[in-house]
Amino acid sequence: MQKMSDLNNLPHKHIELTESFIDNFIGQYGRGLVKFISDNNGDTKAANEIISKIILEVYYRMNYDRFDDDTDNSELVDNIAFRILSDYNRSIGKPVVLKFDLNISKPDKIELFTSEANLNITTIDSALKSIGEPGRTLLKLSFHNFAEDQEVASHIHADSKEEMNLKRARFLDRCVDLINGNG
Amino acid sequence: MGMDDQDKILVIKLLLGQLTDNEKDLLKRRINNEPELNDLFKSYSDVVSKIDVFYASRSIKLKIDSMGSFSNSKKIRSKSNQNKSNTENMGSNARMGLLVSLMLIIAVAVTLGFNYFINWKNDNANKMLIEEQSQAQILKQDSIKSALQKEEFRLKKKGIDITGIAITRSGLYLTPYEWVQDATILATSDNNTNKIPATILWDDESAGLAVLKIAVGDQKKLNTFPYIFSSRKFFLGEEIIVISSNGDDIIYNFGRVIDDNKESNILYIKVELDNLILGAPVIDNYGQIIGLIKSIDPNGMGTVQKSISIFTMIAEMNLDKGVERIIMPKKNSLSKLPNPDRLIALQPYLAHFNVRKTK
Repeated sequence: MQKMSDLNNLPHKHIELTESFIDNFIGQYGRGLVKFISDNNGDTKAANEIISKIILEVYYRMNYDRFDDDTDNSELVDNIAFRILSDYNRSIGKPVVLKFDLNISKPDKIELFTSEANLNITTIDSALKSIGEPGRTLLKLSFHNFAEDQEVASHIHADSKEEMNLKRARFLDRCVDLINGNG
Repeated sequence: MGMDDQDKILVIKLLLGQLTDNEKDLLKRRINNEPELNDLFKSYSDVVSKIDVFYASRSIKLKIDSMGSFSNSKKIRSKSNQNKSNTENMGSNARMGLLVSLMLIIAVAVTLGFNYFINWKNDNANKMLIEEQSQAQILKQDSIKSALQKEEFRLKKKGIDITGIAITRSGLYLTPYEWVQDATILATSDNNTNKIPATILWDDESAGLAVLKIAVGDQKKLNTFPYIFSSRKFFLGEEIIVISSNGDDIIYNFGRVIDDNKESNILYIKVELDNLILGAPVIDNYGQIIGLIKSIDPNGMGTVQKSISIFTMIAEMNLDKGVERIIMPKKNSLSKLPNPDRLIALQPYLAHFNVRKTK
């Protein structure tokens, strides 16, 4: 499994989470996934939540995991879908029965980087709230929107990029401490 | 700046892909050889990816929610032919070809069923509209005054949360009049951890609006406004979105216009209720702000103070040389944005106030 802190696995692509990213994902995989969820869960209302989780996992892997352009990623998406749906159904006491022809090899071996256990959304949320403004937006602009340094500097009213860089390092340090429980 | 700071900045630049190949190779070698730098790299890369994925999860949820339920297959569509995609690399060319063929077949099927669907939808929408209009009549009888009386106890004891929308870059915010009269007002942020006193700069009972000013020195510096206020005519059944902020998260509701009282500049709406906050701006499909939420009942029937009242009040306010002159925003950048991005763009211009009545 690739680690998020693997030196050979830097966030090299910086794929932005745009509307078209999601639209295209839905266009390419949506029908199959909805049918898979419908066949195995029966509750298509759960599809929104499950598909959101699948897109998040794919987004993570595209930015922080090796996502080989030369391979057909359908199998990976199917594996992720199977794993997420399995977890979801397990949480509501429902089994997953494969009725849909998926390209699944070893779904149980798939680790979800974005599972609550790995990500701990509540802790990140609390940490960012604790940091407050302008730090929170600075971190969002830098590490989610991948905004230009000039835009980030302008947001925090920094006179220079150097000042912004220093402040960004300070806010990131604070965030590391809070997320790791040292804040 | 100490050496440590420079190393931190370098590692951040490495994570952001801002280093040249030579700088990158040099830093990578150092990270491999210096345990302390290696630890820093690991903790930074871990937290940076978490921050990104945290915000990504919120954007995905907004976008997916805005697409409606996936139980309705018509909602699943592709724009892959219109937009170059980051996900183009996901599948092989053969798969894409098959997918496009499938999409064409689906498009034909959807077109054939479209007329039937529209008729069915209109019939249902009309039935709902008639029902909601009768509810609106009841709502009209239940005046704002009685609604205030019902809330009076809560206002005095705990206070309530309201939203304000910025009308100047220096931090003047519009709110409904009733909720801020004879009250202590605190602008809150960061999950109520920071509380800054706010005062009423101007109020107009007949317009049903007030302008709040956050204590000098503490107000947010805002960028150019992306939105405009609109006093255009409305049509029944028109779709709207109500957006508010609790200081961090965006709270939004889809709804429809169900009646329009031209005499009192009040619009009646019905929204899917989910923690809706008073004072929240109401946005039309063009991204224009058409008013502010004035009251809301537990069934999601709400009254909206129309933007025409805002124009009237601001015009009067600008005649008074003793107060800051307000130039209303003129450029609507939100019209170009799809809904999730539109809501995100609006968020910095929303303020969250806690109001407690003193009388």
